[in-house]
Amino acid sequence: MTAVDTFTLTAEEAKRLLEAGEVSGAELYQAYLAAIGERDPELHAYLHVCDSPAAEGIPIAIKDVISTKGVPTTAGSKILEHYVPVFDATVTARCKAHGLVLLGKTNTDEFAMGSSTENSAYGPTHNPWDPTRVPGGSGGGSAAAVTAGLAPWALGSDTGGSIKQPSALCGNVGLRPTYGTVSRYGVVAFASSLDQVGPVAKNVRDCALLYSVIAGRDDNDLTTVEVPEVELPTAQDLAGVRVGVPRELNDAEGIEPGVRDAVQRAIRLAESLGAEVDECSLPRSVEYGLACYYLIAPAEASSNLARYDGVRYGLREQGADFRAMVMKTRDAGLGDEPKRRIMLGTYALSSGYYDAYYGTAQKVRTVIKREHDAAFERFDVLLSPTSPTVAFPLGAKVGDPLAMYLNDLLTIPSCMAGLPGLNIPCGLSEGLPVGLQLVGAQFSENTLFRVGHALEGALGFDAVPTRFRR
Amino acid sequence: MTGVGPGTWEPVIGLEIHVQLKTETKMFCRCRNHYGSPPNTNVCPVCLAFPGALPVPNRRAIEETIKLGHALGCTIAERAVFHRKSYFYPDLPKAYQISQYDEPLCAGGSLTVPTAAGDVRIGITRAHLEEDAAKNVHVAESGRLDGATATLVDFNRGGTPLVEIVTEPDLHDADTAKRFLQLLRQTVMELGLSDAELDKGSMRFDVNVSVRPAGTDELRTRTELKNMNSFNFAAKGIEREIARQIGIYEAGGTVDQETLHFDPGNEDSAPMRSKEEAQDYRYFPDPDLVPVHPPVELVDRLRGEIGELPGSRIRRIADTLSFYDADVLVTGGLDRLWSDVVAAGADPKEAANVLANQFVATGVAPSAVDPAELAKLVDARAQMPRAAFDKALAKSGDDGFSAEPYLAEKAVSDASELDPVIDRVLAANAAQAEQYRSGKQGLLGFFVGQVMKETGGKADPRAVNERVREKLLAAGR
Amino acid sequence: MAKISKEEVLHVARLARLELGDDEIVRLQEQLSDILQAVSRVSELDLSDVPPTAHPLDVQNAWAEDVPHESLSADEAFANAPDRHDDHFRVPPA
Repeated sequence: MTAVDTFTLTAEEAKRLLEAGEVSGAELYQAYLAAIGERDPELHAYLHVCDSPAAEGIPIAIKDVISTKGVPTTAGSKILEHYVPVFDATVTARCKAHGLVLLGKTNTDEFAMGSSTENSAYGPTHNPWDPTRVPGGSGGGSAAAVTAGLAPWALGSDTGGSIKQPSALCGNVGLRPTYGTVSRYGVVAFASSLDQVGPVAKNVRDCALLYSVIAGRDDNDLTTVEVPEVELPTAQDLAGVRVGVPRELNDAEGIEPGVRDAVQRAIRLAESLGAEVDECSLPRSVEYGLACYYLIAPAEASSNLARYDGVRYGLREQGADFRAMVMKTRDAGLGDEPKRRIMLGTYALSSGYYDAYYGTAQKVRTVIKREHDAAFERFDVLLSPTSPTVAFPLGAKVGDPLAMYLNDLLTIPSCMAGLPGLNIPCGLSEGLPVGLQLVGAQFSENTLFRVGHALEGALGFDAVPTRFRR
Repeated sequence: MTGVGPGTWEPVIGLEIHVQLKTETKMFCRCRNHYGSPPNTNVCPVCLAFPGALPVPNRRAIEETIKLGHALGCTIAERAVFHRKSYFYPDLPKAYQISQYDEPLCAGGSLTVPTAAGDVRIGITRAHLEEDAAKNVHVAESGRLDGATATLVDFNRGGTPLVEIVTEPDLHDADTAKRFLQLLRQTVMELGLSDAELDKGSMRFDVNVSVRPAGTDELRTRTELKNMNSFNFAAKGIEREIARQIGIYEAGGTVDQETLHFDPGNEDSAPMRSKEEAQDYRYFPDPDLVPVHPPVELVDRLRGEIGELPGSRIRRIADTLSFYDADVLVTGGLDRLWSDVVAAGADPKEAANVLANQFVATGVAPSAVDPAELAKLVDARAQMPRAAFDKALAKSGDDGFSAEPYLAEKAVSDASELDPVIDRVLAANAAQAEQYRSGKQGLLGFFVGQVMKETGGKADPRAVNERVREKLLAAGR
Repeated sequence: MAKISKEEVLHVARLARLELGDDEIVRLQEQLSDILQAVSRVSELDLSDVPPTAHPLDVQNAWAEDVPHESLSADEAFANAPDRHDDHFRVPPA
């Protein structure tokens, strides 16, 4: 059999190998198991690794907030420590129907709440570029797995940046799709009006391929709609593409100089590829985006996490009566970040505070949406850094929730507007990946793929972490 | 005391009714909506609130709620929203109920209750659609020394579509409240929306009661009455509570805001009282559900499917019959048959009489009856032997029933046929005949009964009555 | 204005059924106050003519036909149940 280098093998190439008979499904799967055995003890990208399956397709890793029938799904929380779903999430079912085989479940901040995967109740994931640093979050496990050759591609979920930001910090390609294009059925809910499942991959074409597998209307999730047919990108230029550079996203306080430089270079590269580049402004989206998000998301989360009461599944602590049992169970099973957000969200919805907090945030959301809509009258794609910083050291921000929330400053605004966003790696700063965020209008995934693919080709970023290069 | 005038009190009553829709499936998932299935067999990830489950609304339930709104004269919303209502309880798997808050499907209607004293218009504040909770069973664990209990949960009922109807506080006496509930029940049953069975919980209601000095329009503290599972029970409970509150005010006290939990198995036991903490339900629009904008064509079509409702029919028929008769016919589900029987030529009063009494006793389904044939029976009733008439009625629901053979049986009233029987009876009961003649007039019935028995019910009772009396008197001269 | 009191923390914890230890209450009070301070700036904007966005997509009237599906088997329904009692889920008395 052909020797498989899991660091560089793309899903598209794996497909070719399988179809040409150059490698069998079992051999391919074993190659990833071997890689996992070798590198995951250090990286801890996986919470659960599956056995070799009977099926013969391309392997895939799935974030542990996505239900997989018969395979543990913990959402990174102790409260679901032994929970094994009896049904597949729709995205899982679609992957299986497409012949993909499950490698395992990847680590996540608890209930997808976090920007570093340090909130996982099962210990953090380490950044493959530098294991003393975070991989980003909440989907640090999927991002680390893809970058470290522990999976050809993976599914993640994004609420405020949980796909894009880890992809930025780990140096791979992650798509947060237009809200409503990918089913949330079977995905452990965090914030219902924001959650979206998306692909994490080594390159833009793989990303588009995986998106085409999972996207489209689902009868089990009536917030989904039909999607335009996915076009795998081929063009190497950006002729005719109108690129907007939002001032506030690119000049925000807290953006590291190295990040700014790499992104600026990428923007100039886009221009050289034929794009029309111009500045634009999203004043209130950036200034109020974080505040808006940290009212709406916790409010919805406080409601979505209320079902973890020890009655029908999950952890149960002893209690003299129902109320005591529920309180003890939730106290023991939920970590600090979920508790914090539940408290915040409950407060924002409570009698007397609804109008000032949740009600107002819903209106700010309209403002953000309108600002973006206006920008997309003039532009096809907006460029900015994905994350203000490169991967930071483990432990550096855990003690300061607000500092941690600032990691999402640049990803959140477009999430509030329900818009798609793609991260592609655009360079290194201090030896660590810098991510370029491409934001598009609703249902403009094909534009994002086109722009991302062309830039990716021109950038020539080596996605294998330096320490693993031979 | 209640009534009008100084020193009297006016009760103020409002109702909150829950009606389960009898759709095939639940409100937000496609598990069977079926009463009596073995526990936890009509369940799925959605109604068990497994992680990642999402609600999918039942179109039919939405349409039926709109229909109910039309029947209650409500305005159907142009935009309706489902809200999450949050609280923790074992029978609430998501720890929130999907309900409606400030944008319900239906609002601002009324239901007019016909009464002998005239129509009473009861305002309907709103009717909205929500999902029912599951079923808790509180049990004592056997073998435990401390008699500890547990709660067992059956999620079959969880997710059943439920319409909540709230009335304005326009009711002022227990009897009208009872009639309102009966009329509402009949309305939803006729529309095919619900079986509305109180003992199965497909219709439930709570009552809010307060009193105020007659002639004022103040609204004083009200108490909430729960768990009364029959309309009679409700009327009794309401009356007792009215009396209790009046007693308190007349003694110079104040009524506390309380909930009175009745024991559904025991109408006469005093209710348990609790002061329920004001709950903060933290309503917000359910982000998993998009708004409902009922299309105009749909709303119009549903309005056209209502037909003439029971309340209107009572009022209309009361123009021809007495209010009492109209009420009995309509509430007994007999008025449609009555209309048809009258149209076929029968006398309205006679037909009403037969339907409300002898026909009802047969248990025959009104819908199975050929009205033309029944009309013939009604017309011939005076001439038919009672037994033959009753037999004909009992068969009137059979396929292809014809009144002819039964009409042929005329009650025997011919003296030449009756006399021999009467003579026999009088001779056999000479002592009683003597007693009759010396003043015991009541014994007439005894003789008539004996003759009826001897003739196997075929004699005409009136003729027998007359003839027996003649003979008894004649023998005495 | 955005500072949350200890009573409010306890009240909210009760609403959310979270049993908090004393140190947790203090820490949460501080953190929540900071966060509320930061998020309450949403009220700086003039939102008088702005409708709320409850859904990012403009979808309405999403519903399904009243046709039954296959429900879960007992094994599936109770697969993860912490306390199954015959065919019921059992919990401490409510």
